Amino acid sequence: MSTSTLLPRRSLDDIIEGLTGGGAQASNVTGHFVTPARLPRHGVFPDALHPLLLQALRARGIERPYTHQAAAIAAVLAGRHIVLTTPTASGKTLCYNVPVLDRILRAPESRALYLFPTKALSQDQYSGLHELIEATGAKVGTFTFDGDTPPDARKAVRDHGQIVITNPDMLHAGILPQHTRWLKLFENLEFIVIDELHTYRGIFGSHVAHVLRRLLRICAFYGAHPQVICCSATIANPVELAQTLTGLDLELVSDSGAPTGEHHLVCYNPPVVNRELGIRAGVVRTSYRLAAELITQGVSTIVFAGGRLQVEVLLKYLREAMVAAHQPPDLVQGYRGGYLPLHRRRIEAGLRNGTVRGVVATNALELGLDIGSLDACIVAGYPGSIASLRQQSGRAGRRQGKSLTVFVARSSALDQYLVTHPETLVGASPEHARTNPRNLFVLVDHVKCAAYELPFEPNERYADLSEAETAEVLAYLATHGVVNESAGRWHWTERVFPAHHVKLRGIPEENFVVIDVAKDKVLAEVDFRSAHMTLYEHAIYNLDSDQYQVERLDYDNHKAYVRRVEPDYYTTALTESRVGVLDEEGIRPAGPVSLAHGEVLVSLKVVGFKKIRFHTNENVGYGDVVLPDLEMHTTAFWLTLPDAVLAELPGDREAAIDGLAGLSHALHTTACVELMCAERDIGRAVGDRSAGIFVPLELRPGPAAEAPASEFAPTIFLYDAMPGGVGLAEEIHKRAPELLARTLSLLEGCRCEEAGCPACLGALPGYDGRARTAAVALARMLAQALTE
Amino acid sequence: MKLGDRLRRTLGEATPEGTAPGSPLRDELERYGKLRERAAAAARGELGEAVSLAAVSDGGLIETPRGPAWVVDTRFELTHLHGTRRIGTFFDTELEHLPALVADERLHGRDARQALFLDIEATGLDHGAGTHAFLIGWGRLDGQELLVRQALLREPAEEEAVLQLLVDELERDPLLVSFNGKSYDLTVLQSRLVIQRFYHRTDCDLKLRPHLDLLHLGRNLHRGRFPDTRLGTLERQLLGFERIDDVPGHLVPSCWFHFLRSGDAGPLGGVLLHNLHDVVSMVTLAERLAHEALPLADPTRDAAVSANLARLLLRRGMPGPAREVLAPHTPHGLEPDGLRSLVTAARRSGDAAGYRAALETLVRAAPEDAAALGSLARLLARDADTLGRAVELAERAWKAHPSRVAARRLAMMRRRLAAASPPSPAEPEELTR
Repeated sequence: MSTSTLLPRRSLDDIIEGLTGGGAQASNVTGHFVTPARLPRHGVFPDALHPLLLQALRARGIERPYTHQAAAIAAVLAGRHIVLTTPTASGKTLCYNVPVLDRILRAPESRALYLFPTKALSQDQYSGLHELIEATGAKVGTFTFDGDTPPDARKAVRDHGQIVITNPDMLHAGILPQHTRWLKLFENLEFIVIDELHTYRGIFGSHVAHVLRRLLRICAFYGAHPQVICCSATIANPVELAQTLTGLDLELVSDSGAPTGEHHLVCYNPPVVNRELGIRAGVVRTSYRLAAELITQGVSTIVFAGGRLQVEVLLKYLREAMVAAHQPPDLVQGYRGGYLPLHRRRIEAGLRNGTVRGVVATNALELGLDIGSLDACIVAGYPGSIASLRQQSGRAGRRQGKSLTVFVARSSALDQYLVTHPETLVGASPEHARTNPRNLFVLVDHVKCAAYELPFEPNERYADLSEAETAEVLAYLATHGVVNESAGRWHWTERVFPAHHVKLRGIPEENFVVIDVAKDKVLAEVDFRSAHMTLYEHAIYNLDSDQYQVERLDYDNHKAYVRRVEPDYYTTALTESRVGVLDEEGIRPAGPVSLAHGEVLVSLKVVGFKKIRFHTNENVGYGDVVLPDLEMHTTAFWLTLPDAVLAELPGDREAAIDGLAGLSHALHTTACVELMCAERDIGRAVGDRSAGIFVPLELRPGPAAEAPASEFAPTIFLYDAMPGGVGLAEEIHKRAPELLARTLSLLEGCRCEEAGCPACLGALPGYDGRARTAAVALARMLAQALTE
Repeated sequence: MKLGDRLRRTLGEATPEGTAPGSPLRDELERYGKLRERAAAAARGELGEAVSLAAVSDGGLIETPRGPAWVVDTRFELTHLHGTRRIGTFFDTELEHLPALVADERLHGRDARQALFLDIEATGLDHGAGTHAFLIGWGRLDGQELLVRQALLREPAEEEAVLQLLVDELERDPLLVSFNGKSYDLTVLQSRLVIQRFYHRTDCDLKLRPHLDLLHLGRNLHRGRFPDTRLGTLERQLLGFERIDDVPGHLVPSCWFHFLRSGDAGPLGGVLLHNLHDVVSMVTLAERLAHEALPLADPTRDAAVSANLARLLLRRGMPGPAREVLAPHTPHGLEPDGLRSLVTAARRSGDAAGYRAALETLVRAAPEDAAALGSLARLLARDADTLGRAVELAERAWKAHPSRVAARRLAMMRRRLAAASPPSPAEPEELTR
């Protein structure tokens, strides 16, 4: 072993020691977890594997599989569907490539379909698979089929592709609706490989579940019953997720036999810089300092940042730090979406030969990374899920020797919760990947697509619907003239191509364009919902650290006209949500309060904006905004308190209402933790439901004065922030007791002690102890009522 | 709450009259002149009884092993004139020259009397699995008549029976003739045959059958003559046939959807007529195109068509027939395009004198054709007597298209000319740089 690989080990030890050993930084470290090294455990390849394949594996240096690989291969050869969840870089691809190639080498007419969530991953997979096939010396037609496949090559893929690598979007709009042209594939389809399974969650996952059901429905038409092989990052419910997505029974393979070195996870909370507002040092600056220290001392390091802008800033800072330390700035490289494979290969090679030592990547790229293993990983801000955090962390991890991951928390409530409860991040994954294929919007769209693909047979059951439910949906579509019932079968009778109107990755509302009036040039596109928050008139719109002011918003034509300015402030939108209950289910009284969940109509209104001065963050003015409401039909959980409960709280009425708002904030934070979703996935509103439609409390000049006390019914809503919902509300309802217990401990245990801070009560107008006292009293009362 | 109720509440009730949102049939029909009144009356609810299928066409049911199919048969005497052309002529037309011309060996040995003219009306323009061919029309020789059979889906469930009739027809191993069938009609039908399980394995591919697509032949022969080469245009220009009150193609699916939802067959009458015209027009169009495509000297053929045909023949490696085709028009009846074909044909058949003559004509007709000027210059430069003219042509070629090749050629010819004669004027500045 050369000194260049020995040296970093020692520095890494020093740095770990510096962080955790009681030095200056140690007060910021809230958690330190060590995973001990693990030796490899090997199995054997089945003797029955095709000799060419065994020979190819040996040629590539694989004499024996790890135990999990052997188990997976054996299960697939025995004809079972499997889900594989082993850590990053444990050799998952071998688990499906071996059985697939074995089958194709024996029966060349066999076909396999590989699904990856992104095009870039498909390309990576293609090159890896190609090398293995080359080594067998056999000809196996392997093609990627996506939007980039030229039209004249498509026929070749359809006719000769033994392994077709694609993504859900292409399957949905380019393959399934044209299935009659893919006769060879569907009649002979033996394997469906679904990699990065855990990314198919939320609304995207709900769509993908339908795409997969449609795929299996078409396979059944052609008499094919393919085996399904899923691979997932570590989540709490891989089998449940795979079953929801495919409707099949799958066997779990999760015990990794791959070796790992000793791994340290350090949770780092930047120091408080403004005690009153509870604001901490920025995550970018803190991450930069840590990364610079690691890289200059020779430790290969990857930094994951939240967005493109943060990547650019970190890259700039780190390169400056290299120059200051008399090291070449090229030692640090960016790694963003949109990089060409060749460029990425160059960075990967640089990491191996030592010409690159630091990489700054966006969260979005955690999946596509194939850059070997590094010594250290810095996660700058919670990436939105523990699975993501672990996947990022997995990039630091040698098969031998130590590695380090530092999670640096932002000031936001969720990050703060996690960094102060670091045990949440380790151990068995608490994280459930959720999808809701019964989301009506999604469901109806895909029933249409399915009807387009094949007529519905009499008594057919679609996906997880019952016969009767399937018939109800079809009857509904028939009243709209979309399908026609003829002799018991339902046929598609529209001239449009439904898959073109169904986007798997979000609502296809038209974007707004941002136009620079001075240059008459389009600067950017902003999605429909965000436009309401960022493009109102007089808003300061930030782009690549330049500021523009919105001069005019042409709402009907989706255009915002902006002019470059250099203000000393930025703007944030003030919004209010109103929630109207459409359907109430599962009402559960608990002492004086009642809990329920059901369908709601949420309307979000931007009522105005605040001007906030840069650096000092002081409020320097307000403005009005007049924009149409954003309406969304979704599901919500709610909790209604009788007025009498509020009246019994310590402090006056104002404190009680502030306490209620603060409690809703803490509840939101703990719900995000408990359900392991990003903060934006759950919406929050506090209101009075006595009026039928829920008027936000803050808007009422004197709630008690206006309505008779008996009718005033303050309510906290937590709603699914996706149209139709992905099942979060029902889950919150189910877990309400744990959630309130957790909320109580958050409020009681917050280090702000008395006043309240963004990490517990949220951004209240002015913190005072009375609101916190009221919130704690409420939480205690609720937690108690629910456990009884 | 039941799923159906939730759907209605969340996604909305159906609009009245059962028309689909996003296909505003009434608006479309209003644009369709002949049906305007009917549609308006229907919209006012004054139409009373819907018009039955029997009222718009005298079809009937045929029993098949897969259920009944609704069929309209129309017979034409072979002496029948469609536009200005007799429909029977096609069945005596020689087709032996076509396989080489359209580069499809499967047409070999096929007789015009085996032709099956095929045209579908479908519910959309995409080729996806959800596009239905709701009306399939086919025409063939039946004794001393042209029989056009149109099979209509009264409802989607009748598709199997309708396809059964088509499959029976295909059993006779016909020569398929279509207009754009390669990318449309046959693609849609193939998909329907797969979905209705007539075809299981890919060796039953409709597209592997002998098939003449008139769109491609028509486009090749009549390129550049009319604004487009759609069937309607070719009918008017070549067949002397003009449709009156034809249903515009984009309204065709709506007419069937309307029938399906309301039972009113009124608009379908127009669609049946439209499809019938398509089939019959293909018969006379095929005859005319087959005739025009004969690789022979024919002074009555339009010079532009001859030029197109010659170009097609050249592309298929037949310079001899290409020259023959151009001969009656040579040289002055030809546009530069035809002349270029003539030049190529002469060169490929090794006729030096013909080549030179054709090039001379071409540079007169197209004085700025750099390629022609260059070729002629090269040819003339071989002979000392014509070297001076070669230089002049090479100069013109260079001016028309100042390429490096042209410059080099010009410089070389100048040097040779200078060596053979007194000094020439100074070379252009650009060339000495």
